[in-house]
Amino acid sequence: MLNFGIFDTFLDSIFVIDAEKKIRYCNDAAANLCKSSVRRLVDSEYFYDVIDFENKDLFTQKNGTKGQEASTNYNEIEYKVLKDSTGGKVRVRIEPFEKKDDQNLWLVTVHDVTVEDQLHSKYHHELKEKEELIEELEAAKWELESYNKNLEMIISERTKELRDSNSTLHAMMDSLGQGFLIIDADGICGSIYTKSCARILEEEPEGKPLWDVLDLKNEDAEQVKLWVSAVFQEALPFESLEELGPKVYNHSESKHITLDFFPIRDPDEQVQNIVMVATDKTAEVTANIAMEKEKQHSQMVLKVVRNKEQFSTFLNSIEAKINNIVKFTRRSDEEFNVDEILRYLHTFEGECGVFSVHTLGYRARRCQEVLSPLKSVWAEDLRVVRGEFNVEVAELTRDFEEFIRENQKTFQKVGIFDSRKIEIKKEAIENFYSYISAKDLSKDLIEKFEYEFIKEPVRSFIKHYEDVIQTVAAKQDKKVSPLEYIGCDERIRGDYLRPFFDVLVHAFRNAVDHGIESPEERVQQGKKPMGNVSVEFSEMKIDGKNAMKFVVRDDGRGIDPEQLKGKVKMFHPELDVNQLSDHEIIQNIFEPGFTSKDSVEEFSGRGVGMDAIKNLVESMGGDVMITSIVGQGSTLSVIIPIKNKTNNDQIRRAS
Amino acid sequence: MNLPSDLHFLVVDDSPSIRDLIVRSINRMGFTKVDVAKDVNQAWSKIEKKMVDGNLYDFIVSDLNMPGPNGLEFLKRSRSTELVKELPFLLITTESEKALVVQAVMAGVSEYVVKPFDYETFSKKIIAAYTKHHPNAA
Repeated sequence: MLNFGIFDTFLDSIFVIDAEKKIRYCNDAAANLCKSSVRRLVDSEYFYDVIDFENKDLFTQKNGTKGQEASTNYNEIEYKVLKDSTGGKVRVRIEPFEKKDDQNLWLVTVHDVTVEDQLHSKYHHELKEKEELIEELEAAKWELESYNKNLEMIISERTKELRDSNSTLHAMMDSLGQGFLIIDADGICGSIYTKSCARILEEEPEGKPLWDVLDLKNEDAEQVKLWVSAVFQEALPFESLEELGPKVYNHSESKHITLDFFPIRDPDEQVQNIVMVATDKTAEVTANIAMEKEKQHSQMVLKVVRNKEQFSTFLNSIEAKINNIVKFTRRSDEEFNVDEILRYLHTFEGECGVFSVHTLGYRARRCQEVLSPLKSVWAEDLRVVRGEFNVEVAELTRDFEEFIRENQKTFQKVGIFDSRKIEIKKEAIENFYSYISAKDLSKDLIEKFEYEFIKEPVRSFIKHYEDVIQTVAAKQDKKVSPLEYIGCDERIRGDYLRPFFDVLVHAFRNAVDHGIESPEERVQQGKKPMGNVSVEFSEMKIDGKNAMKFVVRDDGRGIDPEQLKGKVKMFHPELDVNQLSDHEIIQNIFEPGFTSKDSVEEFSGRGVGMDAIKNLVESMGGDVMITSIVGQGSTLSVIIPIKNKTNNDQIRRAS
Repeated sequence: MNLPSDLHFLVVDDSPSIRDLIVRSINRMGFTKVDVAKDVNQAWSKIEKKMVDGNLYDFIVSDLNMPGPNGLEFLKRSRSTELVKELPFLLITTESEKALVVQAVMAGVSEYVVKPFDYETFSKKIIAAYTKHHPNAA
């Protein structure tokens, strides 16, 4: 073995090989590399038999091993140990030695870079991975940024949406006119509430405790505080607790405010907040009170009407009784007999109850209540009590005056203030009349009796047409003055005339419907805006017979014969309408089915009204006629013979 | 809703007619075991006597407004006494006593019912109170 001991301790693998590539020397490192030992390798093995290099050209550069005179650079190449096929990467360098003993030797340095290589590729790999990661992160960052921007936009849109819907919701809640507010577990009102709170609860509730908002003090406030705790702790189900909460708010202007409560629960069904709704029920309550009053009033009127006589007496006596009560207040203390006064008041109260005069009855009870302490208390309080009693009696007097004032009209209509009346069946009177007519009594007396008790004023038969006129006028937006009565205080026997009066309604209807124009039209024509309808009654003689004449006039537009000509032609094709006088044409109004209106309307136009009047009147032996001046009005005249014994005979003979 | 039919009720009320009405309502629900007391002291002695025998009432129904200790005091004492505090406690009240009812609620009353009450309301409240203390009864 050649002595190259200097290389023994080198960490790199050192081989010395000859021209045949026999290993003439190697160090321990080299032997390790070849997975062999120095002894085995040196002078026995050939280099290429031990290691397989990937690059076989190592020793055959330019001129081959033999000619290799230059050193090579380090070449990084793969190698494989032939013994066990392990391998790796090495850097190989070949250095020609000086000749020694005439042998060409080469120094092969093998620097194992396997680990380096591995580390390197590992690091390279890791670096690559890291670079890729960085790229991904960059990309992700960019995406995130754009997502962020997007998100901001989405959020601001959503916020706007929510704000809009919130304000819509708010507007809706505000428009309900109820006071909404929300309280938390401490009973403090939150920032969500409706505008109506200001009006209904008289303040803005935000940040304030509920009991302050409701103007509750001391025990009441404590009570509500406790109640709120109970609700949030759900000591009992909300439904059971709801009724224990505050139910009303005492508004300073006596508005009637009711309070309702509703729980808001979180996802676990725990009570999170309580919503309070304050509703102004004043209108409802007022309406109910008004309705009650109306009911009571109706009851009274009903009773009054049923018992006119008694009520009349009662009314007259009330005044006297109230005067007596006033006199009580003027008695001296010694004469102030509480028992007597209480009895009197009690009776009075009872009477008021009978006639449902509740206000006076209530006031009488107040008087009694004021005096009742005297039944169990000493005289020194007498002064005070009497003072209070005087006040109540004064109120009683005022109430009575107001009672009369308010009901004046009703009483008048019902005839309470009229002089005493009695009710008798008409039959009884008629029978009596027949009875005395048969007797031999003076004609004057019988006629007087007939006039006073049998005959009735014309007005009483037709005054209900007033309503008809006003109803028709109202429906057509026309204005008509109250019906004018001329000669209607005359008394007649009207019973047999009822069918006539019934049918006469058509005349009044037509007067308004066809006759009276709208206020604008009237003013245009220089008329007063309010139309006029009048009814005149008179008695007359026709052909020596007594007859009644009814005339219904209106100052409306009148009847235009020209306009009727077409219709008349339709009804009477045989007539030459141009030959007829205006008067004749106008009388066609009485033809059955004749109507100048093109459509049937509620009141007239069916062509029945006038026809009915004519029919009936003629069947009674009478006559109808209509006259008119265009633009000025129309006049319906009816003449009916008076039915009495003489006339009836004459009429029968005539027909 | 089926409550065990052998529940033993204790009814406390100073007015015999109301007591009677309550007992009848309880009977109508199908419960036959009902003891009565006319005031809180009598009620306690009955409870104690039963405990001596090793038993306990299953349900207490008490009026709120009574002479002597009232229903609220009775409730508070019950809720601070071992064993008795577990019992369903129904309070009978009037409209005007709502302030006291809220206190009773905070003191642990199981349910309350306002006079005058109808049978339906009464039976619903009994069941509700019982279920509160015996959730498995449903």
